[in-house]
Amino acid sequence: MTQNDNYLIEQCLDGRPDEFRHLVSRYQPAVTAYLTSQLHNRSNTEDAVQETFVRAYFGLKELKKRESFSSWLLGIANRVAKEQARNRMPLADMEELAAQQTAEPNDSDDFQLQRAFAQLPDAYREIILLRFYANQSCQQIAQNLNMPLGSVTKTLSRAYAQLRQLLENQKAEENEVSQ
Amino acid sequence: MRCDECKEKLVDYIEGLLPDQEAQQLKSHLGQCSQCRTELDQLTALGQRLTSDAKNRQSADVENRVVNRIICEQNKQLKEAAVKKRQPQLWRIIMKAKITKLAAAAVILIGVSLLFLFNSGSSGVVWADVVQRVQQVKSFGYQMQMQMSGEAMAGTAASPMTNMDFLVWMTADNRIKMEMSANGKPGSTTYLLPEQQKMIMVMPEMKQYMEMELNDESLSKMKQQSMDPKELVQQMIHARHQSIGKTTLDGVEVEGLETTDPAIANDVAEKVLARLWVDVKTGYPVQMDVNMDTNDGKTHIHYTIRNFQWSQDVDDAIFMPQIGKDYTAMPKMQMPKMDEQAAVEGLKKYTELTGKYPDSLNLMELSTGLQKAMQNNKAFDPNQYKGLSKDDIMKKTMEITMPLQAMGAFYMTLVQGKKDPAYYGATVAPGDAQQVLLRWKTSDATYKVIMGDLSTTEVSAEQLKQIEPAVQNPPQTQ
Repeated sequence: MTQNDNYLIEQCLDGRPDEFRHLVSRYQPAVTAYLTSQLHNRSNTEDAVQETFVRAYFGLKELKKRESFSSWLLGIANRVAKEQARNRMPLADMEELAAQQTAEPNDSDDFQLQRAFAQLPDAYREIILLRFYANQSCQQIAQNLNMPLGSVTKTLSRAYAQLRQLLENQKAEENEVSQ
Repeated sequence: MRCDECKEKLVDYIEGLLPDQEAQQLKSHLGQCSQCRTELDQLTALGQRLTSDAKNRQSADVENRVVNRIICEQNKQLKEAAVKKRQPQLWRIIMKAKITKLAAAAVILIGVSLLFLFNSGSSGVVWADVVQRVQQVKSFGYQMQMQMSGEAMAGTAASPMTNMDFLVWMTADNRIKMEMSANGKPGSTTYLLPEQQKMIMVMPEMKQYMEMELNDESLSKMKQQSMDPKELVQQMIHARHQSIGKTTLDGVEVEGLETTDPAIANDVAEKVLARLWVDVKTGYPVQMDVNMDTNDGKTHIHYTIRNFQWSQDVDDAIFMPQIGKDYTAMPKMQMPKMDEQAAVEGLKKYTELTGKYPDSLNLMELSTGLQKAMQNNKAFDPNQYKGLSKDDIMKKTMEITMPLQAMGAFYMTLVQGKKDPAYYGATVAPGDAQQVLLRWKTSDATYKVIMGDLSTTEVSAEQLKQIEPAVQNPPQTQ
């Protein structure tokens, strides 16, 4: 898959923006999940996702290690999120959040999982993003993050444990509220 | 296998990373331990939950939107880059033609020649004698060195500093021969031959020459504007000036005067410092230095005129054009008239190229403003210059420069002739039939007016007051 990233990046650098579609498709869930965890606001997130990819496209020539495209992309998403957070009025965010909560819940949205995910430490979140949202194998992640394979599985294992803990905590809170 | 060992290896097991033997051991432990089996099930379920959440995030819409934005942005960037790249290139094509450089030099010369044409201030007694003396001279020669630096002007864009040398011979009947070289490279020799109603420009290096026909009117205008240091002397002396005492120049005792009177460079420069040195014994001018800042102080011009040969009779042979047998003639040009029609034609040409009227009719500003305005004009298609032959490029270049020069020159004559001209190009849009664009006095009580739609009309001074813009926008009168 990383091989393929490399090829697609090459095509984009040759001036074929349509090839970028495949990279967007591949990494959009990871970028969206990450930005959701940072921005807590759906319309902001959608804008930020687009902005991240557009910036990535025009910044491709600055990407030095092509096999690290995904973590480089998440770095851009991180900057976009920070900029958005800086430029957003907190009040507007609160209003939107309130509106979202009262709106019809989207059946396909796993809010508990998203909330727990947002609370994960960065290192764990990154592993989860790459493994499940960018659909990379542990070997690819190891290469991508320049980490020994053993460290990747250990981190993944800890990320699982923490995520489960967070989900359990949520459940306990909800039970308390409903009782 | 113990439970803690098993749990530690579960992720590796799920990911299929365990060596066969270890995987077998783990599998058999799972067969026996329900707690570890539950642990495995929960991990697998969490993995599936994450995978399913990831799938829900997938949206084809995002791909389309991102790619569309990229394509839009890219097109915008390409367009901007193309405009940036194309237009100066056009100008480079035009300006690469040597003739353009000469034409630009001619613009400057016309401007410089203005310096010689002013009358104002009061004259000193001794200096008045100088005027008289030089005016009696039948023919004379001089050398002029000109340096131009600062922001590139039309025709000199290639070098930050341009040095031009001129060797000029003139007679009282207005025959002129001017040899010009730029940055040490031989350029051209121009002959003005009033009897034949011709101007001939010979470029030995290119083995080419160009003939320009002059009609009576343009000839008389040229006579008025000829680069005659006699006039400059007269003008220097008549401007507000102060004595700068005596000194020695090339072993000759000279007395100098200095003026900063902007009138001396009217229509050419904003800031002027001019010095004239006269031979104390003979009373003839020995040297003149002029420093001017123009183009909002962005262009600096310095020129020195010296090696005057006042009393020498000039051999007629000097004015015979030296055209080699193997030289080729360039397309014949007609010197445009410098009249009302020229002003209209020039304004029309300028709007064709830039989509607007020039802010100023000052020749210097015209040539610099033209470049910028052409670059900003989206309607102007530089492709029309692609693939043209050298001759055609010259022709096109002349088609651009000649009407503008004629217009600028005409405006100068209005200023010099104190015809009370006013120009409103900075505020009048092309095609505006209601606004006065340019006006000048034709008699004590009447004015000629060119309107924004380039129609012309003659009005009385009273009528003019009614149609002219209010005074809050002071017109360009210089």
